[in-house]
Parts: sequence; structure tokens; C-alpha cells
Amino acid sequence: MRSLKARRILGNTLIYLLLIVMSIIWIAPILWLVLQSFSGDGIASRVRFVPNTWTFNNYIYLFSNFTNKVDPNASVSALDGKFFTWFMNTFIVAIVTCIISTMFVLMTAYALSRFRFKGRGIFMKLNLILGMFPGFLSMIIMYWVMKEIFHLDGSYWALVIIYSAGTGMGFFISKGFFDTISKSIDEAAMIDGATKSQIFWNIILPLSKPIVIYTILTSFMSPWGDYVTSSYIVGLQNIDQWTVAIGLYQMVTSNDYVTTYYTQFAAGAICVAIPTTLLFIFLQKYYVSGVTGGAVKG
Amino acid sequence: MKANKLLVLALTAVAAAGLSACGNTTTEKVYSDVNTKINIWATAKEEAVIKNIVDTYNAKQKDETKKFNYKFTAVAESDAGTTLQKDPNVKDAPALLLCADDHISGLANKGIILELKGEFKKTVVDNNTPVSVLGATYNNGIYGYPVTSDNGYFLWYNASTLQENDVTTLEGLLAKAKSLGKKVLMDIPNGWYVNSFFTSPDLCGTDSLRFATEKDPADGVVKTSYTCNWDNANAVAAVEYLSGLLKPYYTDGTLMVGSNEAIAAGFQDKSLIAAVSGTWMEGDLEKAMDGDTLAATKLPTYTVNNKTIQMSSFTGSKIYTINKTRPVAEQKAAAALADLLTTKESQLKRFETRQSIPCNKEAVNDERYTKNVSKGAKALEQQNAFAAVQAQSAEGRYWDIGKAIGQAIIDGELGTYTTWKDFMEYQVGLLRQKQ
Repeated sequence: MRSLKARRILGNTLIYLLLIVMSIIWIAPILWLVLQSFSGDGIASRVRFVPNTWTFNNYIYLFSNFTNKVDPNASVSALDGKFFTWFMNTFIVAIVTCIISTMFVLMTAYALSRFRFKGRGIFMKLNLILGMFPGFLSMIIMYWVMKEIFHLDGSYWALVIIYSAGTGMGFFISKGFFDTISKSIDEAAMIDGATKSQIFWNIILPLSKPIVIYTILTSFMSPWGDYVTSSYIVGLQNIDQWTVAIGLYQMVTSNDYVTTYYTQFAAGAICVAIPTTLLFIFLQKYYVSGVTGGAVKG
Repeated sequence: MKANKLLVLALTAVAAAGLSACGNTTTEKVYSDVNTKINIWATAKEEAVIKNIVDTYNAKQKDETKKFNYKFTAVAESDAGTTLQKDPNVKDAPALLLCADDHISGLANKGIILELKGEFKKTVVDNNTPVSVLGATYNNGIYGYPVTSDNGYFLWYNASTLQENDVTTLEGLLAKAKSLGKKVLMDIPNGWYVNSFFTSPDLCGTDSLRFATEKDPADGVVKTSYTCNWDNANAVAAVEYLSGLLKPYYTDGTLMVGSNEAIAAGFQDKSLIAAVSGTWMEGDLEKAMDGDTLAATKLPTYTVNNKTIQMSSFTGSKIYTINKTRPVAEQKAAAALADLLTTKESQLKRFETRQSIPCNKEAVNDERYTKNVSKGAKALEQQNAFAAVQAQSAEGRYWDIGKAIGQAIIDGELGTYTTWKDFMEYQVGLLRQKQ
């Protein structure tokens, strides 16, 4: 009896030790970034964990409009006072994309779950195969389509089209969820005279809250954090159309600014993380049931 | 059928007119036209300079139609060339572009930028420092107007700890640092710094590393080949000596490698007393000094076989270049504006506005510059006398080889080779391959 208890204690100790080590590994980079964002050491802070001097100036820099400069002697930079613009651009892109693509995904999923039509099987298989190709294979053609057909090169609205256009393909999880909702509910509604559209909006959607939330979350996340597509579509010359990803990347990589904006970059990275963190905190319970929702057929 | 023929004739005529107009671009020198809007891409700091110079010009110009008309877009010098290469006809494409000189070869190779000829070429070559002209050169053609030679490295040091005579030789500097228990930083395992030991005029020469790109007639692919003599007997003796000198200092921590952040942090906590870096560190270092005095000078010398060798460096310039995919009128106006923006007076104005180091021969010696030049800029100018032009010397393939040589110098490991001669011959042989 005693040895059993001892073994349990030993086992738990080992597991907790492992968990502690792992959580340090996971949390340390984030903590480091937070500390950097309050550092007044400039570029030197990159080699330190805890800053020598503490300041809020990095955050003030990001959100000041430079009619009143933080440091009046600081040299002019194209990045000054732009962070808020980029933040709003990204926000608009992410919100609009989120709305459009959530609709696309749910409607496609509903159609494929409830209707039986010619080519349905082929369509789903083809979709599966197409989904295996990474999206950036279409980079160059996307650029030319946006430039020559839509004349949207250099504008973040092009991003909205690109991000949302293909999202209908990601219907699998939602379809799996819709499949679990009994068809007899649809039939009952039809007997009462509901159209297919009414069934979707008034019956299926309210019953599928977790999957709707999950779709909204993922649709918001991908445009919010994307760098590759936004950088080649918007272009480095259109600074007012940049998304935060481009702006933050430029802050630490462009030769013109490389030693200047390190701590401001850290502050920017924290600001970018805030909306997604909030979303996750408030929607977490739905998120978990959403991810697993489509997995079990009842 | 007849209509088709007419169309072909008309198109040919238009094309011919276009071509002859293209030819004219390089003969007519002053061309400012208020109806020709010049899109300019340049670094944000340049906006005030352009505004100042163009406003002055336009105010003097009585003829309303002969004024410059431009639109400024801020694009970092390090991104301008690469961005334009992706799509020269991008929306609001620039006619005039301020880019780093290492973009020139790529842009010229793809036929995106205009080669200056005749009077235009002569003006550029006559008026500017040789290193800056080399920056604008590709396959013996001049492709732009040099603005500044501001990229490069030299020695920053703490003048409260080190005297001027401590930093004249590499041996002396390291010995002094060790005796004080302090550190010296040079990022030796980095192709951009390691050439410092070889391209010295006292050793292999500033033109000892050169690359050329040409289309291989065998398969039609554009290939790069290098000429490099870093495997000659003197260079091998020097590298062997340097490795013997530097390895013990690197092992005991007196010699550090690392980049900007390590330099700033080291100067802040006073562990570092000297570092090889560039003008971009000036602001951070001044802030880090905390009462001590910051100083800058050319790189030190080292002595091998009783011969004193001045360490070399890489230098880089910024070039105004013209997009030849734009309409001819825009090209002409852009050339005229570039000419105006790079005169002696304009370069001095640029220095006063944004501390940009001039490369116009007269501007460099002008009191307005020499009396007000910053520590870093002055040291860079001293060092530029011994510098190799990076845009002519190195491209993609060099960096890994330079890094390997630098790594071997500080840790003395030659891999499968036993002598420095074999090692250097192997590395230089890799460079010489046409790829």
C-alpha cells in the first residue's frame, strides 16, 4: 500500500517537473518579448532578458501621431506614426475576410451536407486534392490577377479577395458537424413550409454554435497573422496600405531601420497579440467543442 | 489585309519613334517639364532634401512649363531595387529610384535601368569619388548618379579607455584589451567583414575580389564567375599569421564575434572597448557611453613578415537610377532631376539636412562638410581609401565562402585540409567556378 503511494508521488513529481520545464520553454519567449517591449535599452536589449532601463515609450511611439514627437530630435522615418494605420488596415482586412469566409465555409458545408447533387462526390475529392497544394504556389498568378484584372495591386482590399475567395474549400470540419445534426429536424421544418435557406439560417446555424464560433476564429486568425501574401500583394512602396505583419517585419529587417526599432517592434508584437488573445479567452469553450465537434458522428 | 499591313506599318513607325527618342535620352541634358510627373522612390529622409532642392530650382525657373513636377514615395534604399525588380511596371512605378548599389547589377542585368552615356556618363565619372562611381558601374557601363558612400565599416572605440596609439595596430589593440580585461568585437565569421584582411591595397588589392555575370553560350543561363587571388603566397602567409594571432584571443574571450546588439550591449556595460561596425551604430553607441568618450577611426594595421598591412573594408553607395520601362519623357526628366539632386550643392544640402556623407569630389573637401562631419562619417571616409566596393566584389555565392574563411581564422579548424595554402586554394577555387 505504502509503495503504491510512494510510486504515485514519484510519478506525479516527475510529471510535474516535466510540465514545469515545458511551460518554462513555452512561456519564456513570450515573457522575453513582453520585457523587451518595456525596455529602454534600444538594440542592446536584444541580448538581455531583463532590461536595464524600463519605459513605456515603445508603446507611446507606436500610437503617437507625430504631430507631437516623443523625441523631437529623432530623425524622420517613414515608419513614424504608421503603426495605428497598419493595425486598422489589418483589422479591416481580418474582419471583412472573417465575415465573407465564414459565410462561404458554412454555406458550402451546409450544401454538401444536406443536398445530393450530380458531381458532389467528385467535387469533394477534387477539393481534397487541391487542398494538398500549398496556397503560395499561386503567388505569381494571384499578383497578376489582382493587378491586371482587378486593378487592386498595392491595396489591402486585394487581400480581402484573396483570403476569402478560396476559403469555401475548408468546409470539411463544418460539414462533419452538420452531418451530426439529425436530418429529421430539416424534414420537420420542411413540412412546416420552411425553405432550404430558412432551414440553414433559422435551424442549422443556431444548433451549430460551436462550429460557427470555430469558423469565425480561424477565418479571423489567418489574415491577421499573414505576412507572405500581404507583402507581395501590397508591396513595400505602399506604406499606408501595409498590414501590421509587413510593418513589424520592416522594423527589424530593413537596413534603413535595423538598429532603430527593435524594442518598438516588441511592443508592436504584443499589441498584435492582444485581439487574438482576447478572442481566444472569450471563445475558448466553444473553440474546443468546435474542433472536436465534427469528429464524432452520432 | 490592307488594314493589317497599315497597322503593322503604323506600329513599326511608333516603335522606331520610341527607339530614336530613347536614344535622345542621353543627349539632352536639361529636361524639366511641368507636365511630366516624375515618380520618385527614395528613403523617407530624402523627401525633405528633394523638396528643398526642387523648390529652389522651380523658384528660379521663370518658365512655368519648365518646372519639375514629382511625386515622392518613401521606400527604403535596401528594398527599392528588389521591389522594382519584381515588377518594373508596378502601379505608380518610379521613373527615379534611390537604391543601394548592390541592386544595380540585378536591375541592369534585367534591363530595367537606363545606362548613362556621353555627357551624362562623363559628368558622373568626373564629379564623383572613384568608389561611388564603381558602385554605379555594371559591366563597364554607368547606371546611375551616386548620392552617398555611407555604407561600410571602421573601428569604434571607447576613448576614455583607449588612447589613439592603442588602436593603430591590431596586435596592440588586442594586447591592450587583454591587459585591461576588456573585449574587442569584430564579426570575423561573416563575409562582409572577413574581406578586411585580404582586400587591403597592401596585400591582395581592393580589386582582388570581383564578380561578373554573363550568359553562358553553352546553355543560355546567366552565370556568375569570380576573379580572386586570395590564395597567393602573401595572402596565405597573412591568413596563417592572423589565425595564429586571433585564435588565442578568441578562445580566451578577448575577441568577440557578434552583431549590432552585442556591440550596443557591450559598450553599455563597459565590457567592450572597441568594435568594428558602421555609422548606423553612432546613435546607439553615443547613448551607451554614459560619461565616457566615443571615438571612431580607420581600422588598424597588422604586420606579417615585417610588412605592415592596413586592414581593408567593404564600402557601399546609394545611387539614383532611372527606370527605363517608363515613358521616354519621364526618363529624360528623371535623368535631369537626378543630375540636379547630386550636384555638389545638393550633396552639401543633403549633408546638412540628413547627415548624408557626400561623394561629390568637391563636396567632400568643402568646409561646410569637413567642419561639421560626425565621428562615424569621418572615420568611414578615412577607411574608404582602403575599401573594396562591395557591389563589384561580392554577391550571393561569396557570403558563405567568406564566412567559412572567417570561421577557420578564429578557430583554426581547416576541415579536411592540413595547410592554409590548400584550404585557401579550395575556397577560392569554389569562387572561381562559373555557376
